[in-house]
Amino acid sequence: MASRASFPSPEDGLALHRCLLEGDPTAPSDVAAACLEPLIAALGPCNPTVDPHMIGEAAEEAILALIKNPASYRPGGLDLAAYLQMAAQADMKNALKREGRHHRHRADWAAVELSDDPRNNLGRDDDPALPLLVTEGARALRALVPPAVLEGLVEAEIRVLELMLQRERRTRVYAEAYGVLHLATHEQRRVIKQVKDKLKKRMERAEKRNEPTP
Amino acid sequence: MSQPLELLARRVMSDPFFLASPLACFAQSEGLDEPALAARLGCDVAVLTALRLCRSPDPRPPGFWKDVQAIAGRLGLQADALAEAVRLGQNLQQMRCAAGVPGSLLAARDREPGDGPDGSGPGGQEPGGNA
Repeated sequence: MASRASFPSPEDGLALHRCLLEGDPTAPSDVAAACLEPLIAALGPCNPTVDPHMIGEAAEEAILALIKNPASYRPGGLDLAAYLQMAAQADMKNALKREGRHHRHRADWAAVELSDDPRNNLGRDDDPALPLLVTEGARALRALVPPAVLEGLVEAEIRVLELMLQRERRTRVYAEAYGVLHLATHEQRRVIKQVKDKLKKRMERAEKRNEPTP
Repeated sequence: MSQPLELLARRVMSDPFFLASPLACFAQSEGLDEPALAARLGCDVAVLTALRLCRSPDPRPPGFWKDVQAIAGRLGLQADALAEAVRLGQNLQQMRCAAGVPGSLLAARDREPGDGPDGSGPGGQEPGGNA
């Protein structure tokens, strides 16, 4: 069995693919167990500015597509790992297009959201309390969010914002914070994505307002 | 079992291709939570994720037993218990599809000229309403 962070060897990949083609009912489970986590791990560094949630979905899509249509992969060219990475990248690209977002646009926000240094985006580097706030973690970061971002947000949305600032990735954690844990997983994802998009737009607008005018 | 796998296993609960789907129907109809479902199938709760990601057995008799035995043998389940759960789950799925119960798979249809903008029917009437 491959470790969680590494793909199966090319030989093991071929064996898994063969089991899928032969209709082994346990093959989908084996393929997912062997490839999902390594695929997510491989996609992350190649897409540092893409929402990890979207990376996870793209990995899932690529694996589900292979499971449903194993003939789409033709051994002899790429090995299974490379094929899945290519398929997931394509899924991700399509998802980004569907959202009407450019990578560059996302990179702008991701840099804001994920920056280790709040001074990079909040325009508060003259705040004498900043060094202390930086070390206080997520609560301090929340305190540094421009008031316009927080204005009108309900408590559940603020909890989601806190989680974003903490770099939380798990949908379940967001769902719990936003009070939608009772929904089906795909519904949770949809709802949480909407909230995150709304918050990101607010941050982007606040950032633009803070930009010096020429 | 890893969290991404668990998420995937839950995602496919609405996909009849995967065993997760009939198992979810079965568990729901019997009022079973995860530990109870695992106990009924004679396995550990941790095995449920791998089980859910297996292909759903062919509903036709020869293939059904072959698939059930392959899954049960591989994951260490009681084949009879798995067969009973899957058979009941698949039957429930068929009944729900036939009845158009929410949660079953429904085919999309084109909007009719009189339909409201949100698809709620003419004049905003609720789907299926008799007013």
